[in-house]
Amino acid sequence: MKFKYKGLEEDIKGLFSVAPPKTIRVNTFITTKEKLVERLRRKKFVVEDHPLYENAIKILKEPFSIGATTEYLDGQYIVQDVASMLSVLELNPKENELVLDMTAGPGAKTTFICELMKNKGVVFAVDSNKKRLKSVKYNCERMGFSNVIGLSIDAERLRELDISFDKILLDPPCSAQGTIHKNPEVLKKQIPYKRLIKIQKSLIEVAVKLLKKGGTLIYCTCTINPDENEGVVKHAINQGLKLQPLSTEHGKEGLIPGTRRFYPHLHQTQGFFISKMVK
Amino acid sequence: MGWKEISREQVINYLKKDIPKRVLNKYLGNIFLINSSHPQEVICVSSDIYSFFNIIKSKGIQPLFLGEKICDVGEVARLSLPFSKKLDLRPKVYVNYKAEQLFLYGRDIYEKSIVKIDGEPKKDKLVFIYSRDGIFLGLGFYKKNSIKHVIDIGHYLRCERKKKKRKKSK
Repeated sequence: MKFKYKGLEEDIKGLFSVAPPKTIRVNTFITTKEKLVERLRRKKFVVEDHPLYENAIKILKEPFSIGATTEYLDGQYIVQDVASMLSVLELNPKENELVLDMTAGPGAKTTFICELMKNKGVVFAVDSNKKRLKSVKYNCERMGFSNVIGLSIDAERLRELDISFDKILLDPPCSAQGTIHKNPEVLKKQIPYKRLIKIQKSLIEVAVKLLKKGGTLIYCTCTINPDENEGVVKHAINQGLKLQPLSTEHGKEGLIPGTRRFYPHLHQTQGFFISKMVK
Repeated sequence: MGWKEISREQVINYLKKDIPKRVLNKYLGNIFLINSSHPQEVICVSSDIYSFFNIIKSKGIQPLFLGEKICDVGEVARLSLPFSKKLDLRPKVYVNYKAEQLFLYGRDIYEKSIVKIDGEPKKDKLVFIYSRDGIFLGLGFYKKNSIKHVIDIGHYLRCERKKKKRKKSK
């Protein structure tokens, strides 16, 4: 075991012993869960509802890759972990709002934001990695969303635009400890924790500046490292944001009350952290 | 990747060979941009997106993508898949499962794989290909005994896989 955090010993054990199920999110903009489930079952996929979100489906058995069906190419769903879906539900984007997804690639959260906004309003999808942003473009086209502006720039440059956002989602680069079931190389790599935390804090400083007064910021990561989670939330609070308890009762309370943590052995999700703050 | 505005008339000119003008008038929005990539992409944007585009452009930043893709313009103009799907036009050609899979790998469709035709396809003219259960698969040109593949919804992933393979072999 490569990482140890006081008070999280049992959760780390769970992270190593249980792999979360592969899940997909139904694109309700173009189909319904019932129709999609029927189509997938006809193709011999074994599927089941996920208890954490009504439009999430667990893929228990795939006769071929779930990312290679005609329904996938048609944009009827996207492969996405449920905890990541919950972060967008907590953001609660509404039609006609102005929303920023600060590190958008590959677009699972961006497309969910668009879906909840019914393809109205404007979503800025920003990612400094052009290749990842191209995936966002593909996923938006595939799933039928056209209310997006994709910018391949450093988030810092957004400040030049002098635009204030109603809502911001920030899922910054992190040590990805919560994904070791699918990225076992995380354990072999030398993780530059200090550098990551510096990036996370600087991104949150940018987010604070870009957020409208009264606007909502969701900060989430797929790691369990407290310094990358609660540590960064504390930094955001010091920048003037107010922590708000999440509306979901799923997950377990984080190390700061009001934040939530998710684990594969407890919640059938990857290791994940979600917090909500208001300016 | 610079984007600049073009007129609605220009967009209609690009597409009128394949799509009747009255249909384009019904479905096309009002604000269009074209970029400088190869082939060039023509997109349609809402007035909200257009106003943000102007702010972004004034700061010397060019979006990688925005709005709704209408067509690609190379030697000829080719309808985008999302816009083709939205048009929901005839002639529609429905194909069996085997042909569906082959078409999604870039192959042509033979007559024996066609399960239904809705509308009256004309030789060498565009047809809209659908799976047996009504999923839009892509575009083809109607020939005497077959449909020549033009573009399909699996195109992007195929290209990405090829790129990955090439990268690995290096």
